[in-house]
Amino acid sequence: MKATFEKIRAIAYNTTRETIRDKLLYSLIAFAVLVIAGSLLAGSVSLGQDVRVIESFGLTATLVFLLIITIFIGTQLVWREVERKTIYMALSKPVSREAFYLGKFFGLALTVAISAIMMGMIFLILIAVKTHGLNVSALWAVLFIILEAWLLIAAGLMFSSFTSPIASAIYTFCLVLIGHSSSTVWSVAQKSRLVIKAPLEFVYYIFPNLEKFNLRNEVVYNFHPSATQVLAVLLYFVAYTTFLLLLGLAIFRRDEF
Amino acid sequence: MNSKTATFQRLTILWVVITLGFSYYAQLTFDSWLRFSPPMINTTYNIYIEPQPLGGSVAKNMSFGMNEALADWYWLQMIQYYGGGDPNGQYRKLPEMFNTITDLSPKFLEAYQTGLIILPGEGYADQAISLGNKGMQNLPDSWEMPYYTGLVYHIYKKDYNAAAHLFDLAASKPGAPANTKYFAAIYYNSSDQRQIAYQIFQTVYSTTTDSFIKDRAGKYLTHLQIIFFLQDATKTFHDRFGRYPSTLNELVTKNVIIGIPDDPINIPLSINSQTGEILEVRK
Amino acid sequence: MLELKNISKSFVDPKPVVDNLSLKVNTGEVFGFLGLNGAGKTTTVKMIADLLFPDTGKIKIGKFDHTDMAAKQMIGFMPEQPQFYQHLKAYEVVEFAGELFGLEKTTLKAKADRLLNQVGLGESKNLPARKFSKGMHQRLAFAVALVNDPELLILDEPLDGLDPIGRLDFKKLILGLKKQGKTVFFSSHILADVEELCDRVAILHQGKILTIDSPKNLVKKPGQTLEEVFVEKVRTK
Repeated sequence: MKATFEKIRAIAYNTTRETIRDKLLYSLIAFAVLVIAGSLLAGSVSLGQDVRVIESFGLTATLVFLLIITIFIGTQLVWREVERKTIYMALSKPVSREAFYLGKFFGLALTVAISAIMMGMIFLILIAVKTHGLNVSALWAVLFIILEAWLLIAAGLMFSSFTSPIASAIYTFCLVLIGHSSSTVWSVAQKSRLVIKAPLEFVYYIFPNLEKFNLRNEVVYNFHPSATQVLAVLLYFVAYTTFLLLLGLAIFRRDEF
Repeated sequence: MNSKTATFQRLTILWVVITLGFSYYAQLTFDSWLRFSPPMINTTYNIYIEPQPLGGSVAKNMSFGMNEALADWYWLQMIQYYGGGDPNGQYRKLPEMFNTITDLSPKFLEAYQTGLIILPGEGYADQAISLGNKGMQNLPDSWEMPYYTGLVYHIYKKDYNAAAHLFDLAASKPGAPANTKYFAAIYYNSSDQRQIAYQIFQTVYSTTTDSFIKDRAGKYLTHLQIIFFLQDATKTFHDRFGRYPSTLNELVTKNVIIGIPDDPINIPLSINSQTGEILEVRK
Repeated sequence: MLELKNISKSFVDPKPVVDNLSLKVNTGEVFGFLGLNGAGKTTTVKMIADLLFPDTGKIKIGKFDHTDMAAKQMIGFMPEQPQFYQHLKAYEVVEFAGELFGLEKTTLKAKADRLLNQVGLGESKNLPARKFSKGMHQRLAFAVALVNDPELLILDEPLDGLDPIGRLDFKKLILGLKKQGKTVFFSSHILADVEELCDRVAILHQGKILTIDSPKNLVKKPGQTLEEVFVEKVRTK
């Protein structure tokens, strides 16, 4: 058991190292920082609403760039290993497919967390300079964005275990759109008749409800999540991510290379 | 290194100077062409693009959870639109933009405030009032919403009764400025609800810590007392002569009262000789 | 050491790529797996390495099933035309491979150095793998295959694409391993290599084994090269 954890750790560390050294990541983070800093400019022409604008634009930029990293690197993670035949090296060794898959997940999760921390730091510093204080609710929002990205890594890995990277990127992107319109889906379902209502409610419950991770709208009103809310979101994240990982593993276990 | 390349390299600085010189000359010609010849392209012609904000619910459904960011986007667009000037001079999209912004961000207090201030000035008083009502619904604890809406009723609608109600409402919210209740009283007075006005002035007078407001409220109380006094005198006049006096002075000349008291806030008073009502003469 | 029993595998085409293949490699021998391109060599090798799942049949390594972690612990595998993580340095690749075997991190550094020297990459150990030539990739893959001191080496076309010096180096390395008592199973379509190195060869054609024998026994007429034998065998089928 300990040996398996060691191997997962080794694969995860290697994945992080490999993605961190990729130029793509650097340019994405650099661009994100640029956009976050650009919200300063937007803030300056906002009739005194600069903090509000920096918060909402900065958080949105953090989310969007993190999702780009997640979707583009996440869906290519296994495909690249197959393409470069590096997967042969790992799977011919005493490494179970489960360990390989989880190692990939944790590795990218760490990369995403590092990128988010870099973007979040810039963002929080920017707000701190403007307001002379730490914005705790913005910190929460960034943490929740990381959770959302982690969930989507699991989704991207799951898709890429049975389809091409481009298709999985599109599927994952669709999942983001559906996941963030969950409240719309729900309200449409409530207004519909039974024939449409049942499938819509099914969609509402089966697709990831990413709005749970959305504290970005509350940040501009300096809202703090309650402990039960945080626990509920954590529970949802753990349950849904585990579900995605298990589903992906069930497919990946049967993949041939 | 052969001698030819060596010579070329030795002349590098010369080449640099020559090429720079050429570029300077070219730049000069280009500039003078732009500056001194009649413009070949009509640069003043500018296509004006009116913003086309999405409807509130559409925008909300399309924002995918980025409501506040999208609201801020429209907020910035609105500032550009209003600040940039509208060649049509109407700012047709302004009410719609405020509506979309506040649909996306229902608690964006400053957006309501700004809308309530600028919309009526562009001829959208009704839209401003419905924006104010929306704000009162979404921000029930805010004194600003009824206060600003009340101002619209006062300035653009001359509806003092509605303004008085809203100011009274605003005064009940936490953080309302001390003079809110005072203004409510003035509006009640203006809409001839003098008993309510008197009561409110009295509360203001006895509770306010602001000496200016206390002074003004005291003067208004005196003003109202004068009106009440004159109303009583008019009643006596009617009992005695079977008609209402045609001017206030008649009350003195017919010895109903000794004189008309000096009004502390200098609002001239008159009388309606048909109904006996005491009127404030407004400019 | 390695035993394949009635292995079959087909992909989309119902005609099997590997058809009821059985063979046995004894401990300590160098076994050549010969065949034309598309004969099913790589498919067989991938099945041994647990990258493809056989439709039927069993593969045993030592006394374990080939999917068993204990079996995988014993083998060193080198794929055809290997590539590596673009941003890892050569020594990091070897260290990572060692970690996947659960080897101690403290001893791995010295081991990586030794192996890279052995395959002639001592001077390039700090270069990232993306700057490697094809031959260097091959050498690095060989070092990776050796990281766990395997009992059984499975090499897919190890000499393909190497320059003459590289081929010579590799042949020396394989013979050196044989001397240490290791078992080597390698596939190739170049007969000259097989002739020098192998104790026994199997000739594979269209997924079926035509013959298994020592190179000496296969050459029946004096002066006949293995090449001619191969062509003859493939033709007559």
